[in-house]
Amino acid sequence: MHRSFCSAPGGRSQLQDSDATLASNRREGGASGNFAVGYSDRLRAAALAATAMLCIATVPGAVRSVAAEDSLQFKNAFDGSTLDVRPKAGEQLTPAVQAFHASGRNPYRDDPTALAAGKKLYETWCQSCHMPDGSGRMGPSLIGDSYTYEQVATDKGMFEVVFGGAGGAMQAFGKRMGQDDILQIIAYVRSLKRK
Amino acid sequence: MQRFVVGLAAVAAFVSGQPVMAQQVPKSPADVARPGGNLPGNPQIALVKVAEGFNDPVGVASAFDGTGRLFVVERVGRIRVVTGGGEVLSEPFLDLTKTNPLGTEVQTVFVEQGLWSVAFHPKFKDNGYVFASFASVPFNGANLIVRFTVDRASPNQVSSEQFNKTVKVIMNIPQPYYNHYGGKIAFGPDGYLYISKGDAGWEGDPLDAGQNLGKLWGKMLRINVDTQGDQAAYSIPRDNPFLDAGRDRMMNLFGITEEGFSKIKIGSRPEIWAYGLRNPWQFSFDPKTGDLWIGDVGQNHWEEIDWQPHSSKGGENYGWKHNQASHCHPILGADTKCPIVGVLPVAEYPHQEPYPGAPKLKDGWGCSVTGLGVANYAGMTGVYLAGDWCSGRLWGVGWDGSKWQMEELLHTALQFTGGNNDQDGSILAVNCYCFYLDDKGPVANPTGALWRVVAADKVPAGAETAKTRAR
Repeated sequence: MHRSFCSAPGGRSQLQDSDATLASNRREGGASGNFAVGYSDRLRAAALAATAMLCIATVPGAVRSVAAEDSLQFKNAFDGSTLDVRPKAGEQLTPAVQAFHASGRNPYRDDPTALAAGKKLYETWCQSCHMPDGSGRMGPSLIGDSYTYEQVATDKGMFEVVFGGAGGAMQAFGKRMGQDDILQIIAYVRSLKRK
Repeated sequence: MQRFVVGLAAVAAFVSGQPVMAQQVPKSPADVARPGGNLPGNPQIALVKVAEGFNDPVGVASAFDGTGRLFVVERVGRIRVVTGGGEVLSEPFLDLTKTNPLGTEVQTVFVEQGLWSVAFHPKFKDNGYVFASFASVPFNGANLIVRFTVDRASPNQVSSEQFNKTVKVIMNIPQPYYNHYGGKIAFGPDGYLYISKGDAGWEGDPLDAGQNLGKLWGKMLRINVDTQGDQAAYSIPRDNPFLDAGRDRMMNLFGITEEGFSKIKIGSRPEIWAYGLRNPWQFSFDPKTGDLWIGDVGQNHWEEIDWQPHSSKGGENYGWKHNQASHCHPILGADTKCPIVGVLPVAEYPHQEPYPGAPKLKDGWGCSVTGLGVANYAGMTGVYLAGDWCSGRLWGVGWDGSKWQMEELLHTALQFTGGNNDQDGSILAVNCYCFYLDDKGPVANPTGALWRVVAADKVPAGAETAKTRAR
């Protein structure tokens, strides 16, 4: 099971093969990223997520390398435009970020090291508007039962807001920090909700 | 068809039952408009990008000289020219970072400090006079308002030599704290220079500036810059509301009414036009009616928009620091009671938390009002457009015949920093990517842009519009 689904060094998985087909279909679909006829985004995302989780679960420490074409589609929370989450020039995406791209699941949730780092980042970038306890003041509450942008209930949705920006002063922090930092902040914010 | 239309009008008149009334300042908080209202005619607008690439733009102005140029103010201390064709000239119109060999003239250490505003004399085409307002380095952050003269031979660029040769200081207003300067300067329809001043900073108006008629802070000022022989920096317009209030006079104990006595305010500054303001960062005149609108930035809980008819003789008290918008300051909870001091705003909107302990709102209306200008087009008549620096929302405030309405026209992703009327009456706005947090300094933030408000069905083909959130 492990051999056929998850990548082995130098090998290609079945899913990677089908993804290559998909990727080439997408390129033919044009710059707007028209997916190949016959595949729904959701089905593909679910398949990828399942595979990624399977790989992570069955091969601890070895994360399948995710190319840009394998990523979930991230959308700007504000106007729904597609967010470009590919690494910038000179940037390396960490395994956590790559897994997140594939699955939408934040590997840093409940990770004490990440929470400590996330706290420092939150204090620098977020707390002046959202308050140290996340209850909000200039910016909205991050720990309540509902959110200004409903998708923020999920880590993928919160990432879309932090990375791609929303209205006004909620800038696109993806321009100001790496995606790994953003995931750590998100993990820390979620920990605030439980307090 | 005609019978149908007449019938419909009759029904409408019957249903509304309201006579059309002239605009008036609200008499009670219930009359103050809040988001969720509807403007007559349900105007639809879009923001079309005019130019981009500005460092922390905080203001824009037209010279009203028929050249179609727009002048964008960069907080660092530069004024950039945007031609009628939308090209941003590479050489600045004015660069106050270079006019002094000892270093920049403009203090920018804090995000509220910098060069804020440019205003062209009503007779600029003849006299070449331009006015600028900024925080001064040599005067330790004081607000300097200066006039300089454009050389006709160099209409797009005022050299350091030309600036230093022609500069005249109009006002030098000390500033003890680094926030709440106000910022905009603009000529009114009466030809006088209006200046907005914040309460000099910190929070809560610890200097009691708003209500103190002896201080220029927390005020709208109105001065005459066309002095006799161009000698004095400015003179007091003869109809300023506090012209005589502080004047030394013989003491009379009798023969004067109580009202007469109440007008004596020893120590008051005659430059004052209106008071009780916290941080009136932007204000605008309606080019058709001459009415004055002020976007007064609020503190923890409420933003306010004030309106004055053209017929006003000035002297209005907008209530700070006893009131914030139509609410108490300080507000302690849901039931805080206090008298309304002075004049109510026509519109207001809350931050996340309308009072301490309130259920947090999730709408995110905003936290810092940026007035833009008064629109008399695109289906609007006398509608004040105001954006919010924190939320990117853009509202129109207007009169519907019987009361004030505040309608959200757009929810953009822009941090609005300033606005003004172009010569054709269209409204211009600028945005930055600047904030209290992670301020990289006035030239290192991502650059901002210049926008024009147009009717939604008149967006030129191929024009870039501000992205908006679906509503």
